[in-house]
Amino acid sequence: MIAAIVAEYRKYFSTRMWWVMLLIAFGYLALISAGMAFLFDFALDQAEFGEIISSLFELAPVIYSMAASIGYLFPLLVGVVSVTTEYRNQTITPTFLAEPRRWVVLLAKLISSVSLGLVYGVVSVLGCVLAGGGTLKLLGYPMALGQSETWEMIGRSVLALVIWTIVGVGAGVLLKNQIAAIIVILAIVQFIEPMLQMIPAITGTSLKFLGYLPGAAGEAIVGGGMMTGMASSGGDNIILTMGGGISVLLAYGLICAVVGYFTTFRRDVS
Amino acid sequence: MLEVSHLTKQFGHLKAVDDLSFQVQPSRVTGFLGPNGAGKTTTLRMALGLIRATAGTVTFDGQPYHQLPKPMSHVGAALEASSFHPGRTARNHLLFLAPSVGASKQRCDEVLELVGLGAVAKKRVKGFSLGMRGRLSLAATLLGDPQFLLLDEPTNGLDPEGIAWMRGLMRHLASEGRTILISSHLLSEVQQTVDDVIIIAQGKMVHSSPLTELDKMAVTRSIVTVSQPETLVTIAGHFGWQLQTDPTQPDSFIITGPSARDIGHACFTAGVEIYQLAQRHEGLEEIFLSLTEGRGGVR
Ligand SMILES: Nc1ncnc2c1ncn2[C@@H]1O[C@H](COP(=O)(O)OP(=O)(O)OP(=O)(O)O)[C@@H](O)[C@H]1O
Ligand SMILES: [Mg+2]
Repeated sequence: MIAAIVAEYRKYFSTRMWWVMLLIAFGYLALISAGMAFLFDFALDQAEFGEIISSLFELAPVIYSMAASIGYLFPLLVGVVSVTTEYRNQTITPTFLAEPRRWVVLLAKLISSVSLGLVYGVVSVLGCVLAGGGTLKLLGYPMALGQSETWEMIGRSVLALVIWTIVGVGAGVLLKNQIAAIIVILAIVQFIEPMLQMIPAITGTSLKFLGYLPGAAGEAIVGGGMMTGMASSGGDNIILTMGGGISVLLAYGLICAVVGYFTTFRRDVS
Repeated sequence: MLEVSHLTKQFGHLKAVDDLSFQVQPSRVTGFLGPNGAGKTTTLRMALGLIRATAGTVTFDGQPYHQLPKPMSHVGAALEASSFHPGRTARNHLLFLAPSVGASKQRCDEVLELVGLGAVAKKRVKGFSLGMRGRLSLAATLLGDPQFLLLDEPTNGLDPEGIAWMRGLMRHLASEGRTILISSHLLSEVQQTVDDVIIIAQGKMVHSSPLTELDKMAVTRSIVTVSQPETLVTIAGHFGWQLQTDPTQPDSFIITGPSARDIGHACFTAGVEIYQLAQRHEGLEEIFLSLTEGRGGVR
């Protein structure tokens, strides 16, 4: 088992994929979080009770949680590609020759993806703290790095990103074909789910199940975000607890992995 | 010993491998031959657990592949498809296999040197030629110093020097007591390397023997032109020779079976004048072709 996990690490870190995607994640989140800090500042200046609002919630943790609520796409895709690239380049053949017990390979992929997710989590949060937090400081708000709430939020963001990586691996195992997997994943999280989450705001009904969709579950881990914000605007707050978010999102990853194991992963490799 | 027993693979309506049984002996190089689509690659993939057999088993010293502890240290396999990530270096390709084999980093460098890729160890596979990829596949099979080697068309893409080198390496590895199976669709390609041959066509066993016995299966053919063809037909009938008219030369016959000497003697005794008599001994490749005749091609 340990050999299979080491093999997975060596595969991750011997191609460019991991650091190219990591750089993009860092840059993108730095840009978005800094922009968001400006936007908040602008909005608070406009509001009549700006100072009162800003005393109600801390800006910094919200900015830092964007690492998870927006940046989840990067570890998700890296997770997907870590599996599909094996089929695309047929390295799945030597992988299965080295470890013919396929469940061991699958487990090794899931376990090793945790560390990959940690790397993405830490670097993504770093992007938000450095750029978003730095901008806040420039604008005269606290970076709040001395507060435990901030560190809690940072921890939750990293955790969410780790779980998103696992979801990626599960989806990759299930879908196997790289192009198809990327298209399906992007369609679900960037198009289908956001559309569904808009229903309550439009119709004014509250739909509990929306909280169980993957994006919403991911946001529940950091306490909120765009999807759950939209869905809850129609009435009841549909957001899950942090524990609920963790369980639901993890379940997506593991169910995909198990179903994928029985449908595609055990198939003939030729 | 590698033992294949009643191995069968059904792909939809197609029986790619059909109740195939054979043994591959240690200290020998065995050629696994058959025309395109005969089922060679499918057989090898089943032996390695990559394809699930519809029926039958393959064992290595009694154990199926997936039950061998650290299988790559017992069985080294190189399959025809090039299975490398183009962005990974040759050395890193071996390094990711190393933990499961129990091979050290030095061992990776060692086998890269052995296959002649030492100079490009840190180059991405993307820039490798077909022959270099073949060598890298071979390096991966040797990583665990295995007792069994299964190589699917190992000479693919190799230059003449590379083929000669591969030949020497196979002979050397067999002399160390290893069991080596190499597939090819050309007998002439492996003729100088192998001790035994296993020939399959359409998934079925056609012939299995030492190479020397295959040679004995050669049939002698002679071209004869005589003054009295009718008498020659009578003589052939008398001795039970197989006689055909030669489509390329009118009034000439091809006789299968007897030596030119026997034909000459019989004609002389019967008072038939000979204008032409030439004997042709069949080459191994022709024997191979006649064994798989009409059973090649894509099904
Ligand atoms: N995954 C598959 N699905 C359906 N048919 C297959 C599959 N793999 C192989 N076949 C068929 O099985 C037969 C045997 O193929 P195989 O690749 O084993 O032949 P081969 O002896 O290796 O031929 P070659 O010399 O061309 O490499 C062929 O007719 C092929 O079309
Ligand atoms: Mg083949």
